[in-house]
Amino acid sequence: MDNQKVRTKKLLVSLVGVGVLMLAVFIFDSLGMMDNYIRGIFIQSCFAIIMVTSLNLVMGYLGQIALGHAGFMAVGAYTSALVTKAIGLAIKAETMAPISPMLQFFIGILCGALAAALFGLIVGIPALRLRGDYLAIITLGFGEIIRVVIQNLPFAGGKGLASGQAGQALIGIMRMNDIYVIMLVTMVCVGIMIAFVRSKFGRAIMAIRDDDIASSSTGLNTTYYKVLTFVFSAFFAGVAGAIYAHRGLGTLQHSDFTFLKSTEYVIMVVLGGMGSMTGAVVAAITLSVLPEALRAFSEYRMLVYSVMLILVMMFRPTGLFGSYEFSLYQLLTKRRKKAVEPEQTAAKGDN
Amino acid sequence: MKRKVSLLIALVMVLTTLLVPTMANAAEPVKIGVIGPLSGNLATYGESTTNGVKLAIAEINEAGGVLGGRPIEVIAYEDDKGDSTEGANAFNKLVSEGAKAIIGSVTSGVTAGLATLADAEGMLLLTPTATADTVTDGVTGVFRACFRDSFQGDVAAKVAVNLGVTKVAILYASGDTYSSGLYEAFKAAAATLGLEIVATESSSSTADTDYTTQLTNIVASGAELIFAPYYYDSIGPYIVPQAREAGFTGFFVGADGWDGTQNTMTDDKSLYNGCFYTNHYAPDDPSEIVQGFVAKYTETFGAESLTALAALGYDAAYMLRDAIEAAGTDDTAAVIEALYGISFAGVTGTFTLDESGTPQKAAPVIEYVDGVAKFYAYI
Repeated sequence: MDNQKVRTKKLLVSLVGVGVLMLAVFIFDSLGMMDNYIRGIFIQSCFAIIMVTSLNLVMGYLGQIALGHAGFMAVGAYTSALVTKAIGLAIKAETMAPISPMLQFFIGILCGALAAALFGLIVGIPALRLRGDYLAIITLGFGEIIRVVIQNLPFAGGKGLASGQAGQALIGIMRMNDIYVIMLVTMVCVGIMIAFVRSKFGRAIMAIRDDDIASSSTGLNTTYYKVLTFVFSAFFAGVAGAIYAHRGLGTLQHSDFTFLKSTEYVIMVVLGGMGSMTGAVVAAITLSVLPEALRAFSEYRMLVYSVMLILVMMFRPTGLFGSYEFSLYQLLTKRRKKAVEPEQTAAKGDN
Repeated sequence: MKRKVSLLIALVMVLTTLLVPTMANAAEPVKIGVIGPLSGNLATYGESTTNGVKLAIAEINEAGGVLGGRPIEVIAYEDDKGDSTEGANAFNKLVSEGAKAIIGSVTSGVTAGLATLADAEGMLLLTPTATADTVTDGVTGVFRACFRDSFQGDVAAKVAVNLGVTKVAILYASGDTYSSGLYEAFKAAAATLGLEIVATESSSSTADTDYTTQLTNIVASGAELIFAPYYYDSIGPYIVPQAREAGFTGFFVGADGWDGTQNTMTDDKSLYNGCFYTNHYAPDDPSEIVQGFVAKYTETFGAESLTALAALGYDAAYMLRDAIEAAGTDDTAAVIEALYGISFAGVTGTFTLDESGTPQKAAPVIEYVDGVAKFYAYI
């Protein structure tokens, strides 16, 4: 079969899938079934999805344990918040032509993501010389360093910028809680990350994960690919941070980004299945919704949450999805083949 | 047959859900929500505060409710775990369930986020305990039952003047919002009151256990008084004993975070003589309202969780009742209108809310005498 044709078909199917998903949300919304409570959880799920899929690049595909992902999220959150704040002030002082909040938000996301990527590079170059437990510890340390530095920056606290005060929560951040915009950003991010995994870079890092020495002996520059993945992952953590900063509360606290936050995302990756984008997305949504769904149990909810985690780890140690990937295209073609031409063997595509 | 039965059951269920609202009579409850950190490492604060609210609501309903016999119904005591995202979820949930007003949250960090939401949605948010200055800045419909940090820093500086000292030192936690906020406020007040700050030392967090280096520097600077805005869990076991060990004989002044230090003191209670702190109420105040509250709270929940936070939670619920009565309706906008400028007398003092929604009240200063908290003065 023509490879190019299949690829276009797959892309088309994915786009239609995305469209259907957005339409479903739109219908729900216009039927009045989404109040602010649901919207809040929706946005929470969105930035969790970006965080978990980006962390999955490092943990699942590169096979390195990183415990400082919340640090990059913090860099993205603070940078984007300060950028939108500065733009807002400049517009108010009429030193800048007024631009729409949407554009401000996108500029904020881009700045936040680039700043996080830069920190990913700074942390990644020395850290990725190590592996396993040592890498885990060093990333944990870097994550905390980033947080402590932020907490001592006068312009990143209180009212921010020139009138800021170190150690205080940053307040008065622009609100951008349009679910469609955030949903679109999330989908684009996940799409880019899936494309990355399927590209030659993705193949290379999976080779490194499976056997470092073997892949190095075939001529792969392992350090280059490791740092590249780390920076790429940090970039998207920055995007998630930017969404987090503008999620509607108007405040940011450095204590939101402790290593406990990083651990939370690590748990999501492990639960979903290391090396499965589908698993990452499902786990991010499940573990964002679960604590809220259990609110009715009030004081027992954290207990139920932990017991569920233990049960999953006991009976599905590879995570819910292992390394399985859901593919709409495959689902559709399989069905059709079964119905119309059952004798033809299923094409082994790179789903 | 089976299908018919299930159909019938379904029909009955639908009918009952339809009928329930129409059966509600004139005594329809006024719905409010409460948010606090009920789990996580700040759970003790959340427990004290919500206990205070619970006690007040029970009393109000026993006395006939509000607006001529309507009880106040708390939809839920929601948990925010001390996390702003969880707090926002709790807030949105309560609003979608028809809350007319929300009491919460306990910490300034979470409350600042809720304040933004309340302002955007026209909801009434009354925090019993969030003292950070920024919480009520630039938002409408946000009130508190406590004073603000800058005021507390001011009072602490006045205590120093009152004690007749001129050379003061500051020990604070630079990484903590509460501690660094109080440090800034005290520094500003000390400058205007003519106090000389001879040493400024800091720790990175309020959870440190060894302050010897900082305290030795302070002793060497010749300070007569140390301003230490920390929490009771580090003041009692670490800071005061280590300062006495380092040879410091002067006074200590702290803020409301010190409340509860009597439970964390080391065996030698005389070390804590000369320690003063600003608080929201004085448990040994002989007035009827304070003693009544202390007796009722101890009877219902025990003495262990009885702190200033409980008193503030108790007052917050009564403030809300007064505002609803003054507005004559449970309409949120009208109650917000009524709360601005309301005069109130409660356990934590008699006060008027200013235009930012913060009480103008005197802070009682507490002194430790051989390990017992004694009322010192209103400043």
